[in-house]
Amino acid sequence: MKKTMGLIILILLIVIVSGCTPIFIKEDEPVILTSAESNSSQSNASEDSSVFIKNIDSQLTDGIVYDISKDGKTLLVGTQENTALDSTTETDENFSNLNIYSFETDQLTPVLTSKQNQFSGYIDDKNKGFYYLESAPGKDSNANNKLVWTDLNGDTTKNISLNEENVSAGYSMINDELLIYGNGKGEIKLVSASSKISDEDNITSTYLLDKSYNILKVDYIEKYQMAFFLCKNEETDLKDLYYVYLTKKNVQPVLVQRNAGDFDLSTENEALIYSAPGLKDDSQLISLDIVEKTRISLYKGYLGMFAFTNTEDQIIYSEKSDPSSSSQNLWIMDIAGNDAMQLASNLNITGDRLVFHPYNSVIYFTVYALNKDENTKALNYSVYMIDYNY
Amino acid sequence: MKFNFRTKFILANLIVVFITMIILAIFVIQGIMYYNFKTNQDQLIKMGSEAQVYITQEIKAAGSSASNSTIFTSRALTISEDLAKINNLRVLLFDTDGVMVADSANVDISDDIKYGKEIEIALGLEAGKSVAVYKRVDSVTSIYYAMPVFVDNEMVGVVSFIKSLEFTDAIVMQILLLFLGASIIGFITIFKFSSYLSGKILQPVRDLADSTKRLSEGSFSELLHYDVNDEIGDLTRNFNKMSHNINDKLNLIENEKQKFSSIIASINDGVIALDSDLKTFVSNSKASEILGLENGKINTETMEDIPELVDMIDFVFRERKDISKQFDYKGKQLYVFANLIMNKDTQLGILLVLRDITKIKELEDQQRLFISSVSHELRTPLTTIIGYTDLLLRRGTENKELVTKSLATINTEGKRLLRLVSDLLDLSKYANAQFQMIMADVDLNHLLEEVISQMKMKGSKFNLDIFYNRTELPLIKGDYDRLKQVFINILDNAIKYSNPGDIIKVIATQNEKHVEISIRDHGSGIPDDVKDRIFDPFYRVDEDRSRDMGGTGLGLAIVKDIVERHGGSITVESQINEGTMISIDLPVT
Repeated sequence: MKKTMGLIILILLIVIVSGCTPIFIKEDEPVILTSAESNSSQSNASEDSSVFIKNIDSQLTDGIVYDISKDGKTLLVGTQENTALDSTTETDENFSNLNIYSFETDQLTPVLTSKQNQFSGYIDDKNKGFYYLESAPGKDSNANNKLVWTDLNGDTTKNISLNEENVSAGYSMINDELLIYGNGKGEIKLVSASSKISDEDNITSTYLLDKSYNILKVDYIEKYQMAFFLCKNEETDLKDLYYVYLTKKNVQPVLVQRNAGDFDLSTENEALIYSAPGLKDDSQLISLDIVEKTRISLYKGYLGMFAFTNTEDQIIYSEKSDPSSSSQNLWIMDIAGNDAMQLASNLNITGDRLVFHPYNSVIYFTVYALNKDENTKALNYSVYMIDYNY
Repeated sequence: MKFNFRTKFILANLIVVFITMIILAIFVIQGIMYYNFKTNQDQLIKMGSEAQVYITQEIKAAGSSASNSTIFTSRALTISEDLAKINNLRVLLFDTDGVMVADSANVDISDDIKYGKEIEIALGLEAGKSVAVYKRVDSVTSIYYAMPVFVDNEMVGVVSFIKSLEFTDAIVMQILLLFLGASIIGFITIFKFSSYLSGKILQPVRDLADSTKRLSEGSFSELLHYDVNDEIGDLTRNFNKMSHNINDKLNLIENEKQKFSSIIASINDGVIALDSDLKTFVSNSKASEILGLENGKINTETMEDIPELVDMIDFVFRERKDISKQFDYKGKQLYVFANLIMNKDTQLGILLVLRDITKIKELEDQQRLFISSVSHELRTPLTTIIGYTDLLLRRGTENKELVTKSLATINTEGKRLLRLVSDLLDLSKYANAQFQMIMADVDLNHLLEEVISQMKMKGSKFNLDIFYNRTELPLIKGDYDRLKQVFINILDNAIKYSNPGDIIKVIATQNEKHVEISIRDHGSGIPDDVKDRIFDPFYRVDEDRSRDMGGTGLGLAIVKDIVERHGGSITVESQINEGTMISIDLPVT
């Protein structure tokens, strides 16, 4: 009996001691791992045997990139300026002026030097100019955004929107001829590229929504006369996504998603991608078939910017693994959400949009860095270029 | 060391808790360690993939014409610091020769890390693969992760992460302490709870055990009270039923046994039952009495002392049929019946029934003697009567002397015959249990004086006198005529056997509860050996004398009968040639 008890105690001690020692983990034994063992469904570009990233320019030029010309030779870039203290100004304000960057000369040339804030520009290749929004510098919420057109030299300027209109920053150039914007009065306007502000008859159409939606971004698919817009929900202070058929003057929008982040439209695929809240504090990228009204979830995570590529057969998006981090990774995948490949890692991506080369697999986007001068709080923006092959 | 059930129950619970806690602890700890390791490993794989991209973009962004490896090496420190900042862990970069080119920790000598062959292994891996090693360095566990870096399909070096698992170790230690604390609390709780619960649960079992013990000791009226509908309740109810049944059965058996004992004891014959080993299992006191056993126990030795019984037992066992026999045993006449005791077809033993027929035999002898005596007494006068009548018939009646003598003899003998028949009738009458005496208060003095007066006349013929010493006597209950006959018969005998000139004395005295009447003669006396026989019917000490005196031989037999029917007794004292004294005790009313 004593021997049995002793044996039992010994076994128990061994069990107790061994319980603290990893049984299933082998110490000092190297284990070969593959990326497939990771839970991530995304893969790395370099895991593919073909050359993927052809070239990277981490600082193509200073500024925030807005658009690229159709010939791919110039970029529309906004640079940060600062109001100097003078007798007319009491405060030190930052504002942006638009510039043209030439790939050939590697020069950044201002177009319209102004103390107004110029931003959200689109190059008008047909008329050899560009559209942009102009507003007073500072964060005055009452300041109206004015939609303006100018030629590339800045010699000629046209007001596209009315003075009293507050044009949403998210207006879109549908094609060379057509432009769509929304304003704070709940109006959506389709504008001919050659219209003048003084000639109301030349504005293609004005569509009045049933409420005064505070439109933040709008886009349009001409085939179905269907507009999608993001507006601010005054109650929740979040953004809601709607679509509306612009077939008559007074139109009734249909809610697509509450608390949407952003959206992008593909006329080629007749699809809309938009971001929506995820189950936790993350978000998901959803693709909506415009015709069938069916949705599929393409990605779930901490989503940043996203857009269809120029060929509209891929989607590029940014995401971050750590929600508290400002660094983002850039990925590309097909429109079904498969074959995701990482393009860039840990970049401070910012700006209004991703800009795609008209015919090459090159993407331009804005990154920021903290100013090394501790006295200033300004961020340094630069244009990041990735030449890839997917 | 003996443990009772309750202790075993508590110990068992404690052991179960202990083993459960150990198993739980092992599962939890191992699970946490493994899960944490796998999670960290997966994270490292993901970090490695992102590091691959980051290094590629840094090299490409450098815009240098130098080789990728060169750019990698030149920018290694920046890259390692950036990666360390991004991933919040220590990053080391190695060139294609396995030489460390950057350490995000920025230490001069990296003594705190212990690389094995993982860098060498990593350098041999293809794109998309990596290597991880779990290590314990200075009691701190870590994962050493290494991955080859490829830029444009060209390996430029190895990136390595060192992920400390110190946090996991701390968690494990905390868990261990928690389990230890939980175990101690669990033990105490289980101990208290088990003690209480076992007490509650086992109380009815203890009661049951105590009751079964008392039941085994013979207390069949034990009943338990446990009104719960569970297994122990069922057991208790069944136990109570069993106890009832046993009690009833035992009562029944006891009753039957007592009945049987009473029946056996009531049988006036001796009953002995022997089993197949000739051991006595039933016997009654009558059997012991018949066999003359003082202590009343009949055993095998007792049987063996009686050869006739042994023969009978052998016969029965052998022949398997009953047998009965009479034999003499210690002065008694015994009639024994023996047979097998069968229970269906099973032989249980032998039954012996013993009957003491000594008195019956004596009675039969007495009857035979009596009949013989009666026959003889009747034949004698009848022979004389027939003889004389034959003589007269032959000789005729001419001889007057002969006729007179014959007739006188015939008359005398006839009268004697009549007296004999009359006495026989009296004897028969008194011996009849149904004969009723007329009991009344009797003045003995008056009776004795009457009798003496009557008998004096007879005595005077033989020159005998009767003297009565009258004293004060109480009244007694008796049949006057029968008592008169008693004293007549006794005095008659005294007259017969006294010599001429003798005085017969009659004395009556009172004792406490008796009156004693003694009749004393001075005759020839009665020999000692026949003294007790004088009360037997037809017995005469002197046959001739008695017959000559006209006696029938029944007088004292009648006397004894009457005296005994009065609840009294009669004794005789006698000496040869001295005389005889017959004393009668009669109870006072």
